[in-house]
Amino acid sequence: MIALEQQLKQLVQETCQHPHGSIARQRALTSLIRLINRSQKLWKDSSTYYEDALQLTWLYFCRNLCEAITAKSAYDSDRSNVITWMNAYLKRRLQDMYIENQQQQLQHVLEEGEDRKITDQIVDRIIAPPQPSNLLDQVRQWVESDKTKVLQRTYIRDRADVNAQVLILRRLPPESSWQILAQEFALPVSTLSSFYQRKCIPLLKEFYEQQRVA
Amino acid sequence: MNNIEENFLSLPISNQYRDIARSVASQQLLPEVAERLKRNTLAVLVMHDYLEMMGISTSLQTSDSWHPVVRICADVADLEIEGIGKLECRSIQLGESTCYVPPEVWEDRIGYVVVQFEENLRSARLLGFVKQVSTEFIALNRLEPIENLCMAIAALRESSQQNFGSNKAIVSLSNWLQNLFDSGWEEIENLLDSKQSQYAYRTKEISKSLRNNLTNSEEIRRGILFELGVTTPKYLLALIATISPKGQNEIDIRLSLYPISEAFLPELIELVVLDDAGNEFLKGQARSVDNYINIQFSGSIGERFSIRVSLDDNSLIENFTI
Repeated sequence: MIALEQQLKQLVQETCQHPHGSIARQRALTSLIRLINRSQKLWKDSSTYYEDALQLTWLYFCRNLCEAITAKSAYDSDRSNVITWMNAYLKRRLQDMYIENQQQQLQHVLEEGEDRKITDQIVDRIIAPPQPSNLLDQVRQWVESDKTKVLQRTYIRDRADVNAQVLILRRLPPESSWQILAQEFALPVSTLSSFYQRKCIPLLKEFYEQQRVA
Repeated sequence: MNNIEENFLSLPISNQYRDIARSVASQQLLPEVAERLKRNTLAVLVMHDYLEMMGISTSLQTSDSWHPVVRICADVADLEIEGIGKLECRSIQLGESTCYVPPEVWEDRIGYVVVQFEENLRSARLLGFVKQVSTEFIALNRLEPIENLCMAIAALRESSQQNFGSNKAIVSLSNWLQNLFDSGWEEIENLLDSKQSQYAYRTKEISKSLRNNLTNSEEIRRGILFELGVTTPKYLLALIATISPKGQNEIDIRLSLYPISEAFLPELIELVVLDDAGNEFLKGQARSVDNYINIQFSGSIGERFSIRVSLDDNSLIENFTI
């Protein structure tokens, strides 16, 4: 135990010798995270939101170990060992989340007929706007109709038969494997996939943009 | 050296992230696609967390793995690192010793990381990082510790800053075919300004010798003038690019380096062509009595490359897109 504390103290000191954002700081921080994980001394419980609290704790750790970036004061090695410091923060976050969870459970019960789960709200904030579940069908329709012929006209050099329309249709789920396509078209996988990555995917993105504006 | 057992990094996967992944997956009717989306989404989110902890900004919104259409049409798990490029975040199951990397992500990536999820998806192990892949499988014992990702990012940031420092825009060669030339790139006869008229005989000579070699009347030639060297006076040099179309989508490129202030190139000056990942692709070096260096290659429209001319510690870097 004493050996671990010493190791931690040393590694913390070393980490903070390097400027914030420097590659040396990033490497030392990564080593520290490994050491702390290995120690198994971080508080653990089985609440559903445990990992959410732990994720916040790691961020807090990285941002305030050496300088106070989001906290009122940085970690002070004279006051406690680093894991104790982290556990204090972790437990506070778990407490916050417990309370929030309780309140939401209550609200959930009170709001009759309200089917919306809390997580949907979070999902909407982070995720791209929800898409119609028939997006795959829409894409397929667009590729098949190819009104402007741009898909047919985009093809691998000297191989008009291997064009964006053909390839995208084959790669829409359930997709044909690259090996099968390579055999069929007698072209190396890398030629096909490079064409797909560099020419076909941008066309798909364009299609989506046009859909959104429409 | 590569001890996966010791070098992995464990990070938690929040309930919030698990919900996002499940939600993305649930929109898919085909189970294989749903499973793939779930894993790719989680891997990208975990790497986003690690990089956030390291103070490196990422952009989920501009990542293809976050794009509603692209992620259905391709097995992509990229995370856009702001100002740097895309990191591919692949995942494996417990017990696998190789990681599958689909062909559609073999290009345009600054590197690849492998993530292993706990069965309950509540935590992940970042197993390691490689800069390039050449086949569909990465052997786990090839992986470097995850901090090498930070080093790769730092190196890319530095080199892009160097390029920015030389304040040149990316030269677009296919524009040359439409008679649109980037500033600074002149016809050989117009390279020198009035203060450099003492060297006019040099540009005349070079122009004449290049025209004698003209094999293809479709060739377009432009050059830039620049100084290089640590001692004063510095060497005045010309970098000349001669291009001609080849087939529908390719361009033949010949790069020539000529001395202007001297008759011969400084010894050991190097002309290097780098691919868009920054790897050396072609190189020419002056020997003691060379009066020019030539490098020839061809590339497809849209490809990017850089040229670096170095002497001692001094370099000129020019970025091109074909």
